[in-house]
Amino acid sequence: MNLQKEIIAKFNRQFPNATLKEVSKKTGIQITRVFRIINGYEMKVSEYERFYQVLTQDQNRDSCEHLDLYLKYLKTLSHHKKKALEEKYSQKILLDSLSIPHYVLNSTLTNNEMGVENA
Amino acid sequence: MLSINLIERILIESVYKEEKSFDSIITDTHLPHAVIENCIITLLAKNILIKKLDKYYLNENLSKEATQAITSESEKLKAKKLILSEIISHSHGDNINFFKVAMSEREEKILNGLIYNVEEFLKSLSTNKSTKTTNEQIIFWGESKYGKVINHLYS
Repeated sequence: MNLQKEIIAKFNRQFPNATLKEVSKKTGIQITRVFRIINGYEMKVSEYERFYQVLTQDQNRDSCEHLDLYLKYLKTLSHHKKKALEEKYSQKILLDSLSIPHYVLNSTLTNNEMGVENA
Repeated sequence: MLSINLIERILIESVYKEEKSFDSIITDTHLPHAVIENCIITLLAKNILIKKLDKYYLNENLSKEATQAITSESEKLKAKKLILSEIISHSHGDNINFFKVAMSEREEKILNGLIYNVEEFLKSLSTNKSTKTTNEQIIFWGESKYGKVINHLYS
Protein backbone atom coordinates (compact mmCIF):
# COMPACT_ATOMS: atom_id res chain seq x y z
CA MET A 1 0.00 0.00 0.00
CA ASN A 2 2.98 2.31 0.54
CA LEU A 3 3.81 2.15 -3.16
CA GLN A 4 0.20 2.96 -3.98
CA LYS A 5 0.19 5.97 -1.65
CA GLU A 6 3.50 7.11 -3.09
CA ILE A 7 2.38 6.93 -6.71
CA ILE A 8 -0.92 8.67 -6.00
CA ALA A 9 0.94 11.41 -4.15
CA LYS A 10 3.29 11.78 -7.14
CA PHE A 11 0.31 11.84 -9.48
CA ASN A 12 -1.32 14.59 -7.39
CA ARG A 13 1.88 16.61 -7.45
CA GLN A 14 2.24 16.24 -11.22
CA PHE A 15 -1.45 16.86 -11.99
CA PRO A 16 -2.64 18.89 -9.00
CA ASN A 17 -6.05 19.86 -10.35
CA ALA A 18 -6.97 16.71 -12.28
CA THR A 19 -10.61 15.68 -11.88
CA LEU A 20 -11.66 12.05 -11.54
CA LYS A 21 -12.76 12.13 -15.17
CA GLU A 22 -9.35 13.40 -16.27
CA VAL A 23 -7.48 10.80 -14.20
CA SER A 24 -9.72 8.14 -15.73
CA LYS A 25 -9.03 9.43 -19.24
CA LYS A 26 -5.27 9.61 -18.67
CA THR A 27 -4.95 6.17 -17.10
CA GLY A 28 -7.72 4.36 -18.99
CA ILE A 29 -9.12 3.13 -15.65
CA GLN A 30 -12.88 3.37 -15.15
CA ILE A 31 -13.98 6.48 -13.26
CA THR A 32 -15.67 4.54 -10.42
CA ARG A 33 -12.52 2.48 -9.99
CA VAL A 34 -10.38 5.64 -9.92
CA PHE A 35 -12.67 7.01 -7.21
CA ARG A 36 -12.18 3.86 -5.14
CA ILE A 37 -8.42 3.76 -5.60
CA ILE A 38 -8.06 7.40 -4.59
CA ASN A 39 -10.15 6.67 -1.51
CA GLY A 40 -7.91 3.85 -0.38
CA TYR A 41 -9.00 0.71 -2.24
CA GLU A 42 -6.04 -1.48 -3.06
CA MET A 43 -4.68 -1.11 -6.62
CA LYS A 44 -4.08 -4.00 -9.00
CA VAL A 45 -0.59 -4.27 -10.43
CA SER A 46 -1.97 -3.39 -13.90
CA GLU A 47 -3.53 -0.21 -12.47
CA TYR A 48 -0.29 0.71 -10.76
CA GLU A 49 1.48 0.26 -14.09
CA ARG A 50 -0.97 2.59 -15.83
CA PHE A 51 -0.42 5.34 -13.24
CA TYR A 52 3.33 4.79 -13.56
CA GLN A 53 3.19 4.98 -17.39
CA VAL A 54 1.22 8.25 -17.35
CA LEU A 55 3.71 9.79 -14.91
CA THR A 56 6.77 8.63 -16.83
CA GLN A 57 5.40 9.77 -20.20
CA ASP A 58 4.62 13.20 -18.79
CA GLN A 59 8.04 13.52 -17.15
CA ASN A 60 9.78 12.42 -20.35
CA ARG A 61 7.83 14.98 -22.36
CA ASP A 62 8.84 17.70 -19.90
CA SER A 63 12.49 16.62 -20.10
CA CYS A 64 12.41 16.56 -23.91
CA GLU A 65 10.87 20.02 -24.08
CA HIS A 66 13.44 21.30 -21.60
CA LEU A 67 16.33 19.72 -23.50
CA ASP A 68 15.06 21.10 -26.79
CA LEU A 69 14.91 24.58 -25.28
CA TYR A 70 18.32 24.13 -23.72
CA LEU A 71 19.89 23.09 -27.04
CA LYS A 72 18.43 26.17 -28.71
CA TYR A 73 19.81 28.27 -25.84
CA LEU A 74 23.27 26.70 -26.21
CA LYS A 75 23.35 27.76 -29.86
CA THR A 76 22.96 31.39 -28.80
CA LEU A 77 26.00 31.28 -26.52
CA SER A 78 29.57 32.22 -27.29
CA HIS A 79 32.42 29.88 -26.36
CA HIS A 80 33.23 32.08 -23.38
CA LYS A 81 29.65 32.00 -22.08
CA LYS A 82 29.45 28.22 -22.56
CA LYS A 83 32.55 27.85 -20.41
CA ALA A 84 31.00 30.07 -17.71
CA LEU A 85 27.80 28.04 -17.85
CA GLU A 86 29.74 24.78 -17.62
CA GLU A 87 31.48 26.10 -14.54
CA LYS A 88 28.16 27.09 -12.98
CA TYR A 89 26.58 23.70 -13.72
CA SER A 90 29.60 21.82 -12.41
CA GLN A 91 29.45 23.82 -9.20
CA LYS A 92 25.74 23.11 -8.77
CA ILE A 93 26.20 19.39 -9.47
CA LEU A 94 29.05 19.24 -6.97
CA LEU A 95 27.04 21.06 -4.29
CA ASP A 96 24.04 18.85 -4.96
CA SER A 97 26.15 15.70 -4.59
CA LEU A 98 27.16 16.89 -1.11
CA SER A 99 23.64 16.26 0.14
CA ILE A 100 24.05 12.52 -0.44
CA PRO A 101 24.89 10.96 2.93
CA HIS A 102 28.51 9.90 3.31
CA TYR A 103 27.66 6.24 3.87
CA VAL A 104 25.73 6.15 0.57
CA LEU A 105 28.69 7.68 -1.27
CA ASN A 106 30.92 5.09 0.34
CA SER A 107 28.68 2.19 -0.60
CA THR A 108 28.40 3.53 -4.18
CA LEU A 109 32.16 3.71 -4.35
CA THR A 110 32.47 0.15 -3.11
CA ASN A 111 29.91 -1.06 -5.66
CA ASN A 112 31.75 0.74 -8.44
CA GLU A 113 35.03 -0.70 -7.35
CA MET A 114 33.44 -4.12 -7.27
CA GLY A 115 32.04 -3.50 -10.75
CA VAL A 116 35.48 -2.65 -12.06
CA GLU A 117 36.94 -5.72 -10.45
CA ASN A 118 34.20 -7.93 -11.91
CA ALA A 119 34.72 -6.42 -15.34
CA MET B 1 45.44 22.64 -7.46
CA LEU B 2 43.43 22.60 -4.26
CA SER B 3 40.01 24.22 -4.50
CA ILE B 4 37.43 25.19 -1.92
CA ASN B 5 33.74 25.10 -2.73
CA LEU B 6 31.19 27.49 -1.28
CA ILE B 7 29.96 25.13 1.44
CA GLU B 8 33.51 24.33 2.55
CA ARG B 9 34.14 28.07 2.69
CA ILE B 10 31.10 28.56 4.93
CA LEU B 11 32.29 25.80 7.26
CA ILE B 12 35.78 27.29 7.41
CA GLU B 13 34.27 30.68 8.31
CA SER B 14 32.12 29.08 10.97
CA VAL B 15 35.02 27.24 12.62
CA TYR B 16 37.35 30.22 12.18
CA LYS B 17 35.07 32.31 14.42
CA GLU B 18 35.23 29.72 17.14
CA GLU B 19 36.05 26.01 17.35
CA LYS B 20 32.86 24.00 17.20
CA SER B 21 31.38 20.57 17.67
CA PHE B 22 29.48 18.94 14.81
CA ASP B 23 26.13 19.89 16.36
CA SER B 24 27.24 23.49 16.90
CA ILE B 25 28.22 23.70 13.23
CA ILE B 26 24.73 22.53 12.28
CA THR B 27 23.18 25.18 14.55
CA ASP B 28 25.54 27.85 13.28
CA THR B 29 25.15 27.21 9.55
CA HIS B 30 21.71 25.57 9.24
CA LEU B 31 23.18 23.30 6.55
CA PRO B 32 21.88 19.75 6.19
CA HIS B 33 23.63 17.08 8.25
CA ALA B 34 24.86 15.11 5.23
CA VAL B 35 26.28 18.20 3.52
CA ILE B 36 28.25 19.19 6.62
CA GLU B 37 29.46 15.64 7.14
CA ASN B 38 30.70 15.30 3.55
CA CYS B 39 32.43 18.69 3.59
CA ILE B 40 34.06 18.15 6.97
CA ILE B 41 35.48 14.85 5.77
CA THR B 42 36.94 16.66 2.75
CA LEU B 43 38.29 19.52 4.86
CA LEU B 44 39.92 17.09 7.28
CA ALA B 45 41.47 15.25 4.33
CA LYS B 46 42.74 18.56 2.92
CA ASN B 47 44.21 19.25 6.37
CA ILE B 48 42.35 22.55 6.59
CA LEU B 49 40.32 21.51 9.63
CA ILE B 50 41.59 19.42 12.48
CA LYS B 51 39.58 17.53 15.05
CA LYS B 52 40.48 17.50 18.73
CA LEU B 53 38.19 15.51 21.00
CA ASP B 54 34.71 16.42 19.71
CA LYS B 55 35.57 19.83 18.30
CA TYR B 56 36.71 21.03 14.92
CA TYR B 57 39.43 23.69 14.63
CA LEU B 58 40.92 25.59 11.74
CA ASN B 59 44.44 24.30 11.21
CA GLU B 60 46.82 27.06 12.26
CA ASN B 61 49.59 25.61 10.12
CA LEU B 62 47.84 25.58 6.79
CA SER B 63 49.86 24.43 3.81
CA LYS B 64 50.75 27.01 1.18
CA GLU B 65 48.35 25.33 -1.24
CA ALA B 66 45.45 25.44 1.24
CA THR B 67 46.10 29.11 2.06
CA GLN B 68 46.16 29.91 -1.65
CA ALA B 69 42.88 28.08 -2.19
CA ILE B 70 41.19 29.95 0.66
CA THR B 71 42.49 33.39 -0.28
CA SER B 72 42.39 32.98 -4.07
CA GLU B 73 40.49 35.88 -5.63
CA SER B 74 39.23 33.71 -8.51
CA GLU B 75 37.82 31.16 -6.03
CA LYS B 76 36.21 33.96 -4.02
CA LEU B 77 34.71 35.36 -7.22
CA LYS B 78 33.22 31.94 -8.06
CA ALA B 79 31.60 31.83 -4.61
CA LYS B 80 30.32 35.40 -4.93
CA LYS B 81 28.81 34.71 -8.36
CA LEU B 82 27.07 31.62 -7.04
CA ILE B 83 25.65 33.53 -4.06
CA LEU B 84 24.49 36.37 -6.31
CA SER B 85 22.83 34.06 -8.80
CA GLU B 86 20.97 32.34 -5.95
CA ILE B 87 19.82 35.68 -4.50
CA ILE B 88 18.66 36.91 -7.90
CA SER B 89 16.91 33.68 -8.88
CA HIS B 90 15.03 33.57 -5.55
CA SER B 91 14.26 37.26 -5.49
CA HIS B 92 10.73 38.57 -5.65
CA GLY B 93 12.03 42.06 -6.31
CA ASP B 94 11.94 43.14 -2.67
CA ASN B 95 15.65 42.65 -2.01
CA ILE B 96 17.09 44.00 -5.24
CA ASN B 97 17.24 47.70 -6.09
CA PHE B 98 17.78 48.57 -9.70
CA PHE B 99 18.32 52.05 -11.10
CA LYS B 100 19.09 53.18 -14.62
CA VAL B 101 20.28 56.78 -14.48
CA ALA B 102 22.25 59.35 -16.42
CA MET B 103 24.97 60.92 -14.27
CA SER B 104 27.20 63.88 -14.76
CA GLU B 105 30.85 63.66 -13.74
CA ARG B 106 30.05 65.55 -10.54
CA GLU B 107 27.13 63.27 -9.67
CA GLU B 108 29.31 60.22 -10.30
CA LYS B 109 31.89 61.61 -7.86
CA ILE B 110 29.16 62.12 -5.25
CA LEU B 111 27.93 58.56 -5.73
CA ASN B 112 31.47 57.16 -5.44
CA GLY B 113 31.92 59.14 -2.22
CA LEU B 114 28.72 57.75 -0.77
CA ILE B 115 29.66 54.20 -1.79
CA TYR B 116 33.07 54.69 -0.20
CA ASN B 117 31.37 55.70 3.06
CA VAL B 118 29.09 52.66 2.97
CA GLU B 119 32.08 50.39 2.26
CA GLU B 120 34.06 51.88 5.13
CA PHE B 121 31.07 51.44 7.44
CA LEU B 122 30.66 47.79 6.44
CA LYS B 123 34.38 47.12 6.87
CA SER B 124 34.21 48.64 10.35
CA LEU B 125 31.60 46.13 11.44
CA SER B 126 33.54 43.48 13.28
CA THR B 127 32.53 39.86 12.93
CA ASN B 128 30.48 39.18 15.99
CA LYS B 129 31.30 35.69 17.19
CA SER B 130 27.92 35.28 18.81
CA THR B 131 26.09 35.95 15.52
CA LYS B 132 25.25 32.73 13.78
CA THR B 133 26.91 32.37 10.38
CA THR B 134 23.49 31.67 8.88
CA ASN B 135 22.22 35.04 10.14
CA GLU B 136 25.01 37.10 8.60
CA GLN B 137 23.66 39.50 6.01
CA ILE B 138 24.69 39.71 2.40
CA ILE B 139 24.80 43.22 0.98
CA PHE B 140 25.82 43.78 -2.58
CA TRP B 141 25.91 46.43 -5.24
CA GLY B 142 27.52 46.96 -8.60
CA GLU B 143 27.25 49.07 -11.70
CA SER B 144 27.69 48.81 -15.40
CA LYS B 145 26.87 50.72 -18.55
CA TYR B 146 23.57 49.93 -20.20
CA GLY B 147 25.16 49.55 -23.63
CA LYS B 148 27.86 47.24 -22.31
CA VAL B 149 25.29 44.89 -20.76
CA ILE B 150 23.15 44.85 -23.90
CA ASN B 151 26.20 44.15 -26.05
CA HIS B 152 27.14 41.23 -23.82
CA LEU B 153 23.83 39.63 -24.76
CA TYR B 154 25.16 39.33 -28.29
CA SER B 155 28.76 38.37 -27.59
